[in-house]
Amino acid sequence: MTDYAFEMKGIAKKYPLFQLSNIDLKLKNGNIMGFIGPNGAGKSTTIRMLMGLIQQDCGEINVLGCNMPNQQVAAKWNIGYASEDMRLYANQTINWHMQFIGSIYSNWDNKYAKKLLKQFDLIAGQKIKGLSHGQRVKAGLLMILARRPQLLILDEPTTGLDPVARHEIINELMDVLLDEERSILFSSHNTQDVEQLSDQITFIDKGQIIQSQDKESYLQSWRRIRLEISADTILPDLKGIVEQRKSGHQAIITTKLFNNELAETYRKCGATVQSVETMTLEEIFVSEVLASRKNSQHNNGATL
Amino acid sequence: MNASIIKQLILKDWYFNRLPLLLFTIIAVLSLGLFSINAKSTFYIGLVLIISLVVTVGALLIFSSVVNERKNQTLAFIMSLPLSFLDYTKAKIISNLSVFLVFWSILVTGILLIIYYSSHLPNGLIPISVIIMGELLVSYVLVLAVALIKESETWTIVVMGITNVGISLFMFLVAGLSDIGPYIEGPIALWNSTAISIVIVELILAISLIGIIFYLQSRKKDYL
Repeated sequence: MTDYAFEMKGIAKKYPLFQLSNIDLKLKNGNIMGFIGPNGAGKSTTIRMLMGLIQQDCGEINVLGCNMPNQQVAAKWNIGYASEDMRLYANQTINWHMQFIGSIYSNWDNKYAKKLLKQFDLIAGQKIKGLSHGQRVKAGLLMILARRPQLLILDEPTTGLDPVARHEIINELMDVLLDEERSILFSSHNTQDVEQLSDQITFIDKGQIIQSQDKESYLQSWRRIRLEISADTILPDLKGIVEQRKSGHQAIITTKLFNNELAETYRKCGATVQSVETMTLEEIFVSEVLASRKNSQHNNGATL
Repeated sequence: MNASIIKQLILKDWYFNRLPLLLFTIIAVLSLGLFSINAKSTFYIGLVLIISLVVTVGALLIFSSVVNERKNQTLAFIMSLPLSFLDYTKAKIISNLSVFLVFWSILVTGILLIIYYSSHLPNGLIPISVIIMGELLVSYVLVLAVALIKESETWTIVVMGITNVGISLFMFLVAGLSDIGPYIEGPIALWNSTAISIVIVELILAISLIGIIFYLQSRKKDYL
């Protein structure tokens, strides 16, 4: 058995106005990957390729030991997939959906489904069309969680939810994580959710993976350094500096390769280090995306 | 073949359409009753009703189980289940055709029996009735093919409109054929080579369209 819940190697997919390229991504069994990117970055396309719903132009995709999309049927027995644009049948009840899914999956756990019903405050006899957005998301999650899949692929599961519903869903996902064999890929705009849940972070922008790393070491490597400088201080162009902003006698440095020697280096240049601040995932995400865009513009300019 | 899931999808589609289909079957039986009333006008009213019913049931099946699945975004839910797009296509064709064929067969059998046993309707009506019902079957399979292949509500409606207009034109054309028209009012059902050929062509067209659906669906790379 492979060590990875999924692996994508050299994936590309071209559309008339958008393309995904050089997608290399893998998730270890039992890990949770937060997949973050702006709107239109390629998150859903990547996820749909993982599900075998879109065929890649080139490259290999392996999910739970199955080659995708050819072996999607075998893989999907063990995948729980929910996406923001997925709907249940509006005129049917939650109970009908539970029976429908139960008739397909032999590992459907009715006891757990009933427990989730209570936990999510849902009524089995209620029709889907009578549910709020939050309730619909919860009903959708119930349908996949109660069959205890090995891999959960959740495409923006918390988008559009109120804080309470979001909290409930994040909590339930955290409970699911107690099963260390289960792997989760979950895309979101909400970096707070991702920061809370994930142990691996992947950023995507304009169809390219710009970062994929272990969350803890990633967060540790980013710092914002505030410096007091004089008019004649020349700040060195160090490796890993993502942004350098100067305003009068103040300079703010954002680095993605922080180490303890960095502050010392600035001191030696005549700057006074006022503070070294950790950054939130959201701040890092924005910096990473902007830096990546700046780089690609620079590269495009160089090739012109 | 992923038989167990295909079966569940078929049962689901049948379940969703059970009430309107029951209602249409009752109306169809009542329409057949009009045929047996001893008046020429009731025969034509019954005929128009039956053609309308077949078209309506076909539209209901195609819209509720194919077009709306995509429009209402339930296709993503279905495709998250352990099945391939070809399994999905098989399920849709079987669930649609099975219900349509049962409904269509009841009407064809009813029409033929009424014409055969009633004294006021000439048996010469039998070939043209079979030909017209055959055309309705081909039209239905064509619309189903467009709905599945094009995955577009607009295209489905356009082709449905064209086939509906085509029914009247087809009836007019067939009735105008020298091998068909003169024998409609005749006492015997005349199955000459023209009548048999039209029925065979209709059958070949319906079967070919199903083959085309599978061929084109198997070549698709993106399903959502």
